[in-house]
Amino acid sequence: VYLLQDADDAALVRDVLAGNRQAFAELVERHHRALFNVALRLTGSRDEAADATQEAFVKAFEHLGSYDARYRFFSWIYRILVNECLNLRRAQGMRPAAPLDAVPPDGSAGPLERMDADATRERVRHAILTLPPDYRQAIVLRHFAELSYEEMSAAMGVPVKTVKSRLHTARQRLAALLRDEARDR
Amino acid sequence: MKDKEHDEAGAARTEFDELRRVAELVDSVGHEEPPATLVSDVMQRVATRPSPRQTRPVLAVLPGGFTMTRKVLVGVSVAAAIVLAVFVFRGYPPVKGGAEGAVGAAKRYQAAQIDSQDVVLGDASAQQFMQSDEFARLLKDKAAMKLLTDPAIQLAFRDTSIITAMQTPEFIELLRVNGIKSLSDVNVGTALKSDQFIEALRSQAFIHALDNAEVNAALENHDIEAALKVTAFTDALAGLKLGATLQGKGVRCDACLMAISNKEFLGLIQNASFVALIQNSNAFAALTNVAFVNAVADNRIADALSSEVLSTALRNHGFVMMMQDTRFADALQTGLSHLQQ
Repeated sequence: VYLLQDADDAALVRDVLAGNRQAFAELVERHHRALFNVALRLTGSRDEAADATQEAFVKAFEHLGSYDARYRFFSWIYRILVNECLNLRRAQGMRPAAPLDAVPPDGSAGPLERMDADATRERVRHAILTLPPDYRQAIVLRHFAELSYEEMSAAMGVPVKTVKSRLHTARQRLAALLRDEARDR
Repeated sequence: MKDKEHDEAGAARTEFDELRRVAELVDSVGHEEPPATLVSDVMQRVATRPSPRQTRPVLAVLPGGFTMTRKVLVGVSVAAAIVLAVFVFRGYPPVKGGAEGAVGAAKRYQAAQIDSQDVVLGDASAQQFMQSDEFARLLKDKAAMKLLTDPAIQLAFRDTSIITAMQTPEFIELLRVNGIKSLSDVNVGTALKSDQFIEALRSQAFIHALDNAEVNAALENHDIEAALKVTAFTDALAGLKLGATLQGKGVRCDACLMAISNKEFLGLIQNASFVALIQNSNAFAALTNVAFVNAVADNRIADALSSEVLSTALRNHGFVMMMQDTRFADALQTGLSHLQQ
């Protein structure tokens, strides 16, 4: 699980605002994996994900004074990250997300199984990228940032009921996309 | 009819299985490790940016999400004394069941309805304290009331290390021996804000040095004390007797040497109760805590702590419990709303 205690984040934010820059390094260390994976699934590109994550942290640092500590730090920076991902896509003329590089092969599987598993994962990744943004966010936050419904609600700015409904529809759409894709092969 | 229900249940089960499979497939995509340099790249870029400063109009956020804006705070400050007086002289709001009902037994007077959001502090000692003469004295003490309604101080009270340090005999002695001005002392304040001093405090070598009789003797030596006030001497400190004493004892701490060569430190080190304070492990832990340093370096807090009635209250467990309970702050807010109606 990537996300750590809110109280710790709040203390780190206070420390940064008190002039302790090292505390910001701790915040980056805590959240960069989750945010990078979120960006990766939103953009489909490792380079873009790294750029967006880096930019999101820098903007978070610059605007930390305006952060409202009533909300989770992750929810706040997540919104910055989503905007960064959108900005990157806009800057590149909203070209379709490129397919991801293959993930490192699983050493426990045989060559054919591995090829099959890799192909399946690639299909799923591609299908996620073709989902409308709201549904993609729901899938990404649930499966890649491992947020609870309540945390997703805070990050997406919608009620928990809407989060559940979006996640359900997102999975239905993914199922349909994968079915169609399998039929076309 | 049964066939239809059966078909529907079957379809639902099929969909459920399909969605579960989709969730498993998504999970199988797994996480990827970010570039190894991501953290250092961010910190490199951040290094060139000015330090962020609090810009929100929010002065304090208490656990549980209770927030005081400046506008509300002003109102709370004015109303707090009245509200608390109502609590004391007319009794607390009635308790609504649960284990916290113990509060009701402690009330001195017949309860009066204040609002739907009642003050129901869970800790019995907090209730006892609120029934005490000590609490009544607090209400009449302007400095104490100022402190109680100050959001920065309310936050400080929620930090265990701060409370632990403030309750150490050394801390209280520091307040007593030096009169009420010790924390307002320019040297203390400046030293506590000094990075090198805090860095030195974090160093075990520094603490060992303070335990070292020779180092202490050297610090108490008037010639050395006088010499330390001469910039040229302090610049060459590492090569002179005191530095040699520290290094001869295996103490290798540049921050220590820097700390003992600064005049704020000299002001502090001559204060026996301060030395005792930093040799107390709880107090030491607190002094290396940025929040604590910020809290005690804040003149408002220093002024508030100079209140005798408050320093007495500080030693009372119930008082600490009361201040750590966010519902107490909520009560101030509730009371304010009530008064404004």
